[in-house]
Amino acid sequence: MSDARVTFALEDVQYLYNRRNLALDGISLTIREGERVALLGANGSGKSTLLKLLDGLISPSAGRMSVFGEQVDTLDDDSDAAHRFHRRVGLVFQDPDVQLFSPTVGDDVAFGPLQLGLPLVEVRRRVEAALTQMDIMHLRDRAPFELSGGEKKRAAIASVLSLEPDVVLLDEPTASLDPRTKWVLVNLIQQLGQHGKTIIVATHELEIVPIVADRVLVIGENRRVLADGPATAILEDRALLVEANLIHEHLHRHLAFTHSHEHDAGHHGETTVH
Amino acid sequence: MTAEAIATPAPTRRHRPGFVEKTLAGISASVESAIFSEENARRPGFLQRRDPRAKLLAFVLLVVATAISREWPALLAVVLAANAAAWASSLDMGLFVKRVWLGIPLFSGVVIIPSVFFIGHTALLEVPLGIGTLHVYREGLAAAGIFILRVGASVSLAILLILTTPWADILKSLRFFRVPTIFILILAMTYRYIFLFLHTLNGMFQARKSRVVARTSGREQRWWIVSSMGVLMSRSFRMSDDVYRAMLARGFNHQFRTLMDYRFRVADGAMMLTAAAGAAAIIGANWILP
Repeated sequence: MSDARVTFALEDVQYLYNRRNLALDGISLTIREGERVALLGANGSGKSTLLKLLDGLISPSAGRMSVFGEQVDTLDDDSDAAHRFHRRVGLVFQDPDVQLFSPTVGDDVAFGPLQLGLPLVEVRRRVEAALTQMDIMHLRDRAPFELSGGEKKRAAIASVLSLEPDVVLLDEPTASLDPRTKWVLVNLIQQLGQHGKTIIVATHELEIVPIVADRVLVIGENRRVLADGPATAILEDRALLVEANLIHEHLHRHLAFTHSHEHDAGHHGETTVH
Repeated sequence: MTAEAIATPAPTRRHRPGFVEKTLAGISASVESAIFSEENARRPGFLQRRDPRAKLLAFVLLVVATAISREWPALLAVVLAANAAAWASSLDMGLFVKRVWLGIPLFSGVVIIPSVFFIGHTALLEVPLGIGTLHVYREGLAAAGIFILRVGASVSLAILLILTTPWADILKSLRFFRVPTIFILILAMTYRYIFLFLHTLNGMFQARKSRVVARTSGREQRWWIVSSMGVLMSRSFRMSDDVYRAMLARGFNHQFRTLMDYRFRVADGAMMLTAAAGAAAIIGANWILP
């Protein structure tokens, strides 16, 4: 992986909301082509902000950011650079209602390719491919308000896949989904990674991390990178996860491994063994 | 208080729905109506199979002709033709007739009633009142009948179009009439997000209903309505910003393009020609009929 080209390189990046509220601080990271990365962090740690930054929707308040070797500290909404950028990097927003703004699912999936100015034959091919990949061809003519939460999520991902981006950024893709829909989406994200796309998933659902990512970046509540390493190592570092507010010391998670420990007798007055 | 007293509810006044219940019912009705229209538009049927552009053009021609028409036989023919088309399109006829005649034409009838007593000179009926006599004039009655029929015919055509064409297709077909694409985009997004905000509003009203544990004053209710309007507006601003970012993220460059996958078939051409001939006949009837 180290021989692969660098996709994102951030150096001491800071982002301030409304020029005064700190959302990200001193973020330095490098993500290479084809990597599958999970951004872990508690609510409000800045995961969504970091994804928007990586998608060029907002610019760093301080620090340097390069994407595909080009400096993109500021991206004008209407510039050619911005259009070129969005051809290669796609963001699936946390709220699918934000992303599905067209009257039908088919129109939404076609929106990106049409904006690229592609020939209509190619637009139709991409729409069909994306709908098939997400297994929602039957929803093509449906209005977004007729869809369930899971269907909306799939449609939102399809609307990004039709751009055929090199990088797919996903913001909390499995939040508020029922278990079956969640695992269908997890499998789809896994397949995207297997197709060689660079995948960056922001989540605080630890159980999906080993499946969708090989590398984990933990963002702490101080909005700085707290840890960066292989998924298995990070997920086994209980102290780190507690510090990042991803688990509570008295709540237990069940991943691919089983564990056993005892509570402090003074706390619950009982022993729980897993 | 004994357990028996708790178990036996005291006789209460009949519950009258308050503004929360009425608003919730209104929101549900709007969403149900839209879903019902979309479902009908996807059913297999004569008009559902037609190209939406041909349908929209036929609709415009017939509505313009109906608006110009002064002859009741021509207007009646439009109403009957619309009903026949609704039947051929597998629409629920009872519901179709109810939607057409229980709304706007009935309201128009109430508006036009005074003309029955004041327009014309051939009295058909005398209504004695204490202070004088009111006459029902033949000319006034005829004018009112034609007016109601004209409204009924226009509403029949409009409901036929709405129930057999998905809203998205109607909007896209506006391109055929050279309506600017940005205008179509705004209309489409407005329609899309109205449902989302109705959903949000529904949640806000239900949340309030679940927490109201005592009678609230009119002042409190008004304050709540004003504050919920403010919250909704603030949410809509935030969402519009996010939606714009989502559009930019997919390469939006203010040059909006749409995908039109419509095929203009022989049957669509035949329908358009029939509508054009029908419109000409309706207008021509103004001069031909005595």
